[in-house]
Amino acid sequence: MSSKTSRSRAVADGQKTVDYWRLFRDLPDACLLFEASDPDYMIVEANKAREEMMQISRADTIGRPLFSVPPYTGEQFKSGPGKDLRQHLQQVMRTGRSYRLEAVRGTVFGVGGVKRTVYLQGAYVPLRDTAGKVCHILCIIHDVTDEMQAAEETKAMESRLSAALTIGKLGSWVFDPTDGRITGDENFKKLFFTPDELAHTYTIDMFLESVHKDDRPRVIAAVQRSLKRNVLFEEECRVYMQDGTIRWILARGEPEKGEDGTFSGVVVDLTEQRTLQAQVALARQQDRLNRQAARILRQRNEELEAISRSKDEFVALASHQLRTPATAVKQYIGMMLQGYVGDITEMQYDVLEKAFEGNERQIQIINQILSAARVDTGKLVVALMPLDLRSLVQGIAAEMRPVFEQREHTFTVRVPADPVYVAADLSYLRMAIENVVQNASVYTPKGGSVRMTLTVVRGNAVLRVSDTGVGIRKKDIGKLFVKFSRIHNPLSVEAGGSGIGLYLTAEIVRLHDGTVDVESRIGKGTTFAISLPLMHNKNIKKGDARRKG
Amino acid sequence: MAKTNDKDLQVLIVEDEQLLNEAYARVLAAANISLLRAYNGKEALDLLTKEKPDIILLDLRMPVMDGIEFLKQLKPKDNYPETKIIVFSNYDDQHEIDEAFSLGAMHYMLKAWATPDELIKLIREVDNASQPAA
Repeated sequence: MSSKTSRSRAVADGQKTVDYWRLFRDLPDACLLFEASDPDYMIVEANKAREEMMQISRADTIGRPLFSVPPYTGEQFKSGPGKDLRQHLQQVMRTGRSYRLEAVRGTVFGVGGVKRTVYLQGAYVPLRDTAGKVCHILCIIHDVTDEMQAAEETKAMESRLSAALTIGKLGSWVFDPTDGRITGDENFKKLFFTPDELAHTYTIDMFLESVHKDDRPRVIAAVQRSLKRNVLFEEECRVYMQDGTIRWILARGEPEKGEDGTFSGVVVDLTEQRTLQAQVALARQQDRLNRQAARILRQRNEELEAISRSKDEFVALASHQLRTPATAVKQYIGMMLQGYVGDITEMQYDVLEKAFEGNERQIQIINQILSAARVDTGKLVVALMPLDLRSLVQGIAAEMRPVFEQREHTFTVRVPADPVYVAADLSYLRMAIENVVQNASVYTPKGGSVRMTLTVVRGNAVLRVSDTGVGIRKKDIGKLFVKFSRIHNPLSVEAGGSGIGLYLTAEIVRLHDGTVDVESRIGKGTTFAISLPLMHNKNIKKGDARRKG
Repeated sequence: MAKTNDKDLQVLIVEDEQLLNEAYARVLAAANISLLRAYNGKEALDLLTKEKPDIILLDLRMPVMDGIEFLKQLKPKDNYPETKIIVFSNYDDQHEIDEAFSLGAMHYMLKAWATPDELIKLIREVDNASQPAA
């Protein structure tokens, strides 16, 4: 048996042992195999490297359209470098030639599941069937991040280097005082001549002509001084280049004539440095001005804050003073209404009832203002206890029902069948919710409807208060929770609020670690959603209750 | 509207604001409840050396001696086990209610909330209730 035969047999045997599927699976680069003639490019195979790179299992990848899996779902393939991929794939199918998509940025998972931003190069290689038709395309993704970074670093270094060289370039020149001619070396020529002029005669007069008119007298005087007194010539000045641009140069000339009667010197282009200096000076000045402006602004703000604080203090003080007489009035009117001082006529009862309502409103506003004042000074302390929100919601609903009936509102309440435990301060949370419900009532015209729905969503208790009221403009939503702000709407005149209720609601909910959201459409209605974290351990004794303020 | 003849029930009102002190007094008088009035904790303590009311309506925030200090000095659990104490409060002093309870108070009422009927109702409830365990 010849060695050639045994070798080709060995090769044939070796080939039989190759498990091509395993080979594909274990290739170091991420690979995808998808159908070429399918408009969706359905993926038929994905290898291990791809699973690891994208952290998506093979099972979740095969059978899916190519453009529904990463990285093809990213921006790079919608509007970035990869946006024409589909066209290229069509070409691969038609022409049978591979297509390489260079360096697209992507996010992949590296060692330990950590996300990295990488540059990926994709090669799309056509695979033919026995009939010679392209039936599949093999996509090999190669991580070229390191190469890209190296290339970028080299470029950066090169530009830094060339900048350094440009600034350091010295041109040397020789000046013959007898005929005024100046000759210079390559660098000198590069500074003062355009390429086609490099051979021309250059005289001192031509040089001086090119000097900026503001600098010219100074330079001329310096030249004359040096020539007359044999002193060093050294001047910085601006010169006009052939292309009309101005450059700053520093020219230096030896004071002593050479043996041939000429003066020699050097010249360097200072433009970059000068510009840089000018920019730095400008930046410094701007910075100074900015800081000054900032200081003035800060002062104004402090003044405004002080005014705002003293306004708040005044309001709080006034409310405090008003509280006792308002409460006293409540007792006196209450006594009359409840028969403690004799019988009254029906008409007297009606009138007194109105007075009582007005007084209740006074007390409510006073309490709101005082609560807001304590929130502002950090003195409002909530004592959090386990609370089944359902009972609070139903309690508030029961209290508010007469109000809704009076305004002919349809009022519905829905709570879940199971308990909804949150950590709450009953009286403050009640206040917060009542403000929202009251708003719903006030800003919904007669005949409208208000709905309270309590649900549990992802670990939070969510209370939604929806109305079919006048709604709030999108731009006004920001003002909703601001103290004393009023928003104009058709019912504003009727509303008569204190401007503080919702501010208080927002702060109280915040102290409960919750959030308030608003959705609204003008003329259609508004939904307030108060979200509070669910309490998991409800077995807290009274003494363990958290206090927050 | 309840108006019963309860002249043997005696209530001590401890409230520094004159307007309110008088208003509550009027309510109680209209309900035929006999009453005593003090304007701060110290006055109340002095009164209690001579009188023995069944119920004390105690405001928490008062000058000279406030409600908590009054309770600390009175030691109602030891000295006045039969006297029932209702503390008054506004939203501001809610967190002091716990302390008042631990010192012997039995119930509380938000000033801003109660109408005369509710006040009388509460007094009757408290009167009928047995003392809580010390």
